[in-house]
Amino acid sequence: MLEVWGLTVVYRGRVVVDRVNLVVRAGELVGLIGPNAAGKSTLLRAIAGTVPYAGEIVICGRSQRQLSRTELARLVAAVPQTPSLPPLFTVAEVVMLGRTPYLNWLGWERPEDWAAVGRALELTGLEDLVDRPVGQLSGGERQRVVIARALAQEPKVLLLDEPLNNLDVAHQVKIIRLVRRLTREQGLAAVLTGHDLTLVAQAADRVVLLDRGRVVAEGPPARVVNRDIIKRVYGTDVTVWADPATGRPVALVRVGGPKEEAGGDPD
Amino acid sequence: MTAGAFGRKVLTGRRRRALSGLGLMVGLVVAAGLLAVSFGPVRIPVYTVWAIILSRIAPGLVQADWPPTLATIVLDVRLPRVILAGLVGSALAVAGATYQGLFRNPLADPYILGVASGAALGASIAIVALPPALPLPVSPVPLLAFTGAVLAVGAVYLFGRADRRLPTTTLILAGVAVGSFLSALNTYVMILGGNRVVQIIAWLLGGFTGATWAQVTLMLPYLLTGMLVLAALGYRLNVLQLDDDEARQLGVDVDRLRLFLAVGSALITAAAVAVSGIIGFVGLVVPHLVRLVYGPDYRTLLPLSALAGAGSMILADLAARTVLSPVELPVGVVTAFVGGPFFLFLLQQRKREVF
Repeated sequence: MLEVWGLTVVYRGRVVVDRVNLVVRAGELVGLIGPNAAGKSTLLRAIAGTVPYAGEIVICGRSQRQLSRTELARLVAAVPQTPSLPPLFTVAEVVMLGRTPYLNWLGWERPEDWAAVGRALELTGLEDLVDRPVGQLSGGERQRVVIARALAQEPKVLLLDEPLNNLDVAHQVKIIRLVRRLTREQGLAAVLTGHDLTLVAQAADRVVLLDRGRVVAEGPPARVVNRDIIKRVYGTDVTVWADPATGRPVALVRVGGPKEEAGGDPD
Repeated sequence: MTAGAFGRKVLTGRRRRALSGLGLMVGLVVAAGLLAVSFGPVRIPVYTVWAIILSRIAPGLVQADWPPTLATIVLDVRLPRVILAGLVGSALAVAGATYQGLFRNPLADPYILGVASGAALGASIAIVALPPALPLPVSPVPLLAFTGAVLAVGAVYLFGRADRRLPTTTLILAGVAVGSFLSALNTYVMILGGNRVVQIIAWLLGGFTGATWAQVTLMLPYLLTGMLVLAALGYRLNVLQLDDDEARQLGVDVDRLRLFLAVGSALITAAAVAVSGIIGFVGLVVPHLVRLVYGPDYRTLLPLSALAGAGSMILADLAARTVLSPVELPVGVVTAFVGGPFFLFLLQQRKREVF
């Protein structure tokens, strides 16, 4: 369970996140959208404890400021936008790094750590790749390794910063399904950011739209991903349909007008 | 297989290999040491070497059937030299491995933070400014070299700090800048030095000529302290292979960790350089060799590098003093001459990522 109250982050004299309130319940997946530099990543980094902030972040009923680094790492796991995977380490070794907040200084693993790593590998379907150096993996596999490492932390809050970037459609769907299942089954409070409005709207239980550091819309996907709101915030015209199967919004972006496409004169 | 079994199987497979490598390397280092003590102007059979050492450790265990001069050669001339070479080799290899991990850069070597130039300046000042025969128990050269190295790293740390953090790029750049500055000063001192410049150059080339037990005892406390610190940080060094924010997010205090790593490896490098001068290549190549064979886990990489560094330096020094005997080659020539092609050969063998 994650609560954010009046969160403000100032970076180099610029207000990047501006008095944001956000509550994510256990088992809920919140999609965070917004234009470039809206403050999405910074908001996640503040929750993960890697940037200083004003305001209050409450994780499982405890103020984040009162948590030690290790305690925080046991509650919050982050999947960064561009994860660094040391290429020679095997999948099992990288996922085991997620156990760091539970290990002593020398890092000798106990049976429960092996068990946690085993569960994380199983949930992400990486059992067959355990001994492969991560440098040899494909983009989708690498993304799953990072998610597995986050799961090995056995967190209560899972933050995913643009986890769908650089993946093909099949892998995007796989990752979304995985994250949705994990959120539900593990009772995580999950936040996912993304630029593809349709994908985020498909994935999330609730969508939060940030603009210049502020929350400008919040609610069920169909309420937030709506033509007027998107036009106002992004300055771009989109057509939004409701997916007949799910009722979730599908945002269509047109680059050229109909005449252009037909090869006619734009005038 | 149970939930944890696959991970355990794989991790322990690699780790078991590394542990057996540890045993293998202890054997190799001992063998290299005995061989190195055995060879020289006077050839002493290995079993005699063994017996002489044993009789010193446990008197009365073996019958002394060798001339006393042999015991002197073994115990007072060759053994301190071999042990010093081994200690320096292990220090350089461990420092190299640590810096490579600390900076996440395969090109890092023990001298990256200005240790070499600081030590060189200290040694040059000692050679030029002080009279050659001082009534001191130990030569002032290693003491000033050590001081120079420590001061250089201290300066690099102070200048490399940015905004209470210790980012790798500023640290490396500060190292380069301080190093160049001190090298320039060193050149100036060498010009002032007149005919003592020969001594300075001999020191700069590095080596173990005339090694004594006093040098061993001089470096040992610093070496052990630094090694213990680094040995305890192997796992944290693994975590540091992720980027800074990821490591922080896993509960690691990145900046403090980096400070401890830098201080530990600077200490052992300074101790090594103080007694042996600047010997290149071992600190760069040995960790890569170990990584190629035994994988990147720093918990095993550091001790394996220590042993491999010791063994290779002992053998390099053996070659340096026997190949063109009675002329001694600088040991750095041997390490580069043999280590370079060997490393290239290994790179060719494995056309995959090495770091």
